[in-house]
Amino acid sequence: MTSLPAFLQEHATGDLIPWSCQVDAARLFGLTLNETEEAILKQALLPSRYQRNRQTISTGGQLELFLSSVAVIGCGGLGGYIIEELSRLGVGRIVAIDPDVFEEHNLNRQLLSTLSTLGLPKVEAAAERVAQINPAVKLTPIQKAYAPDNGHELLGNVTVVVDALDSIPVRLELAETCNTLGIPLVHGAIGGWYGHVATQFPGEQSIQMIYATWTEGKGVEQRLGNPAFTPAVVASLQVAEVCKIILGEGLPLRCRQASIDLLAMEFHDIPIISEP
Amino acid sequence: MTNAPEPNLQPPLRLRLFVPIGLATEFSPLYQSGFFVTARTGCSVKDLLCNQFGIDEEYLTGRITTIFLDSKPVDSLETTLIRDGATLALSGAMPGLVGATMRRGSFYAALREGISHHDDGQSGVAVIGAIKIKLFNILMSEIGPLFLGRGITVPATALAGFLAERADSLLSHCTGADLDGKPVTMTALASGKAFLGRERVRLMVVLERVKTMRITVKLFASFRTGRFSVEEREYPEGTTIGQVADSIALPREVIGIMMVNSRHGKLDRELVEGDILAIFPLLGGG
Repeated sequence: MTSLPAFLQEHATGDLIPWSCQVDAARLFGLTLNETEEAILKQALLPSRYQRNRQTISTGGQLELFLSSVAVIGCGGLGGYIIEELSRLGVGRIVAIDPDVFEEHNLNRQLLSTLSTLGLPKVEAAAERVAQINPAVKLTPIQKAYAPDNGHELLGNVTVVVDALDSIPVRLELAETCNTLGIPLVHGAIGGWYGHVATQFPGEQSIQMIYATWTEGKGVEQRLGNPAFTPAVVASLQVAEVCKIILGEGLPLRCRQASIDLLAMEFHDIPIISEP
Repeated sequence: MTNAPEPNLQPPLRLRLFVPIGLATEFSPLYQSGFFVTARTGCSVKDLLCNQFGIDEEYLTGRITTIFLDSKPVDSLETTLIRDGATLALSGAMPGLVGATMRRGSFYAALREGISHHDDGQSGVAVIGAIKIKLFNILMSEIGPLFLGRGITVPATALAGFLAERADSLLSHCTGADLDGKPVTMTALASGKAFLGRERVRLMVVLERVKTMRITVKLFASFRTGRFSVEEREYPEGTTIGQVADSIALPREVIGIMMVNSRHGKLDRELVEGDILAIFPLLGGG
């Protein structure tokens, strides 16, 4: 019997491996689809699904993404789009954390909520969705509320954490846990037509500075609600940040915050540097 | 007439208030409803206004064209005498025929002969007494400050109500206050607590020429709704970010990042001339 590398080489079209070939390889060699995708990328071949990525992300970069693990804290408005995009981008492992089930008032904006997922845990809907998009991506559903006391256990082996929470105090706790664990954190928040994104690397205090004035309660989203398009915009910016952190490319929102106003269509870059 | 304050069982509480000069117009309601001043009575209207209150004679004849003594129009400044407890209403030229008719020495004075003020021959007794003064139209801003500086006496409840309504527009901008010589907080003045159990307050206003500064205020996201994106605004020197936020009714509990000239600041940060202040709301939704 032929080896896996030989099998892949033989069935490649150029350097592209079609999905059917990936499935056959997994069955023939007794591997999971996840293990097969890793083998393909390590052989400098590219699963065909990523061929439109390649002018932006090299096959080497695609492997780095596949070997990474990204935790998404909150699977609502932001989290749904983030999980969708991470799985299509080709991040190999996603840890989805959210205690809630879908309710009717989520339908206006939360990508993973549909009439058939109402009442279903959000993390379960996430797992089903990712399985439909790319079964090679391993999504770990955790139907729990993130809290500082379970942070170390949940985020232990994670490359990047994405903050898609809806509570300011929990966001502040998450930022601290990420600093303790030395994990970069991509923060995003929304309300009405407005949103912001910032990336905190270990040792930085960006989230603490963004919420320096907070004492209790929610922000303006309490009064403004959240329409369909704002989470999609902010979630996409967050995924772009995750991608850059993993690839080590570009300029992340380090010590700065991108502030988005979709009503005025204005985008502001605000420095987040503490006063000396 | 029963205008005179109650017999002095209790001396009035003395309130001194330090007010930026630009806010002198805030006192207009007190001018219109009237206030008491202490003066030597039994003298002529002219003697009272010029010699005692220090109003320029030329100003009196040229600007204070309409005078009512105890609700009756006055024609002669020299012969009309002021008695203790009188009410003197002063106004600049009033419009229309009625205005022209009520004017001192008016061509139409004969039309109002029945209501004109005539001396009753009993007003000439010289005593230190209380006169109620009311000011109208242009005179409020022109000679109102003269009376505020001299001191005006008003019922304590009326002043408490007046100040409570102006906690933001007046008291928050005052630079100091004392009651019977002791410092008092603006909060105590706004709540009326300072006046409890007192009948009358003698209010003395020290108008201060406060230096102002120009601040460029930039608002972001939902803070623009019903307000503005960017505006150059004038504030007294030493104004803090928090006071600017209050002046445009930004709810403090949802204020997020504040930046002065692109650097982070806090609510208690004092601003200086030319500062560019940017304020963002707190956003926490996901």
